[in-house]
Amino acid sequence: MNQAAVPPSPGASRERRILTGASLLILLGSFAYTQSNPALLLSPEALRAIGSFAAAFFPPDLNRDFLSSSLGPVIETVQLATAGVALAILVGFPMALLAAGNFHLGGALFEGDPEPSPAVRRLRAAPYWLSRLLLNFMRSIPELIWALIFVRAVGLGPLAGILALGVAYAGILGKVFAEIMESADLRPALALRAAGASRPKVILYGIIPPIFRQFLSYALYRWECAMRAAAIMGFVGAGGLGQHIEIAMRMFEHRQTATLILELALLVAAADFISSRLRRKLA
Amino acid sequence: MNLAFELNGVSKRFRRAGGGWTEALQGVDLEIRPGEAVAIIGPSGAGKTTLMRLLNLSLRPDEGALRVDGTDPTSLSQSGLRKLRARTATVYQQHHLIPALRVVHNILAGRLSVWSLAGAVLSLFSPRETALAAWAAGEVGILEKLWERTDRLSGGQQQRVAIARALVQNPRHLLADEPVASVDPSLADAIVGLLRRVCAGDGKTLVVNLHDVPLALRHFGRIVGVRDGRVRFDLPVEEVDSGLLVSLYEGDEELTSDVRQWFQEIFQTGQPGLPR
Repeated sequence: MNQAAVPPSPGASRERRILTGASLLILLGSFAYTQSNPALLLSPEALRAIGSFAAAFFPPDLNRDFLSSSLGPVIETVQLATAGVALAILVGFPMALLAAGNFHLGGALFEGDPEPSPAVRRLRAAPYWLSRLLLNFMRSIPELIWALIFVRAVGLGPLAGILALGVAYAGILGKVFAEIMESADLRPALALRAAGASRPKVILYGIIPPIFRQFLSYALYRWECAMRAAAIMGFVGAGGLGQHIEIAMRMFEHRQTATLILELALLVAAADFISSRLRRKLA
Repeated sequence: MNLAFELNGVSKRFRRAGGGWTEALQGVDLEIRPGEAVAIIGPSGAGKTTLMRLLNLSLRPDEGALRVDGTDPTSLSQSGLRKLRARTATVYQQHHLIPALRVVHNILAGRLSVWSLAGAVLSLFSPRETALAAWAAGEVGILEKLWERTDRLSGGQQQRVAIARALVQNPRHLLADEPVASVDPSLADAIVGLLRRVCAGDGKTLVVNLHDVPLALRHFGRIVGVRDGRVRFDLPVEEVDSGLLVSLYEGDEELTSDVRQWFQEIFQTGQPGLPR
């Protein structure tokens, strides 16, 4: 066997050792601070309680009447997710156009143009900063909170869910779309600019078509996520499967709850499958 | 009559990634008359592409004066500058078409400076001025590819799309930056010939950057040699001799087998218009 002298390993750096130690401390500290003791879960009485609770869910209620009555909420969940993402695209895409720095702040798309006065430069940057700020705000509030707000504003039901998904996901899509546009290959756009096209036309032809599939692909991924989010939002009365799961749980209809949860799992799996198939086609 | 392009003492520098500056062009004087056909040759890194980007008003000189059709672009408003840019069409090496769009849209993109924004949007769904696009596609010999996606075309065919786009722009001046770098030699000759023909037809100015020296000498009456950001010679093709060419390329790391082969080709053929 060939052998060679091993150069001495420098070992982990000082910073890394400190970081590792600090992370461990924080982890242990959080358990202690929240007074959660994982071992309690394994005590005999806890195991018995868990067991009898779980047993109440079996077998799932497969009564034909119940199944057909639960079909409505399943469809409503799909509609909620789809309408929510559609709204998010309608709101998020124009905002992304404003939030893409390379369209407003300077750089290759401005080279050779007359030097703007400081006032003009600030005026140009204003929509950029405003849309960034708004997108951050929309994104940093979770869709569940948006749902709570919209349930108060427009009442119980799917409309509140659509608005909540629309706003929260517009924040996410807007930011991601803007980042895709900022990292786009500028060469096709620069060629159009050199031929005398104005900036909106340069963006329309030179930037958006080449990355359109990336937009679609990401929006599809978000549609998949929206399906799960739609189910959760039902718990605050924003329509869909979640609302029915919540009602069944509150009525102690555990076997119906089990059926609804299974339906939700199937729905999410189906959405995953469809979206990943479509996205592979787009890639 | 105004000169098509006029450069007086033009310099352009770029910030280098690692810090410091690269002098891309230094004190360049160049005058090109309307309707003239000029080839610019020189090793890579000589500043040929920077020169093109100055001529098509994508860049401004750091020093010196640049005029296009007698107009100083720095005196223009944004829209005036766009109008002046629209007079010059540029064909690039590659990667400057929109790969995801059909050929017809890539050709019609040459009309963007004329179309309204609404018209440009609508055309993406239902192409307008298709007869014009078909004429240009026919001129460059790719009519049957009009409705194909552009990224399905070969390098040579894509270069023809770029020329067709320049045609529908109906410019006074046509620039081409290494238009044949990505196509094979026989095709390269055809494409440079095509550029010459479409410009000679109605008196368009043609300025072409060429890496391929024999090609430049075969097709152009005026040769400008650029090296290290400076114009080394600017002569009628008959006065370009092997000594000038060797000094243009010598000592350069890019003086690879390619360049040696060109010299052999040049020195062995006794055709008129080739240096001795």
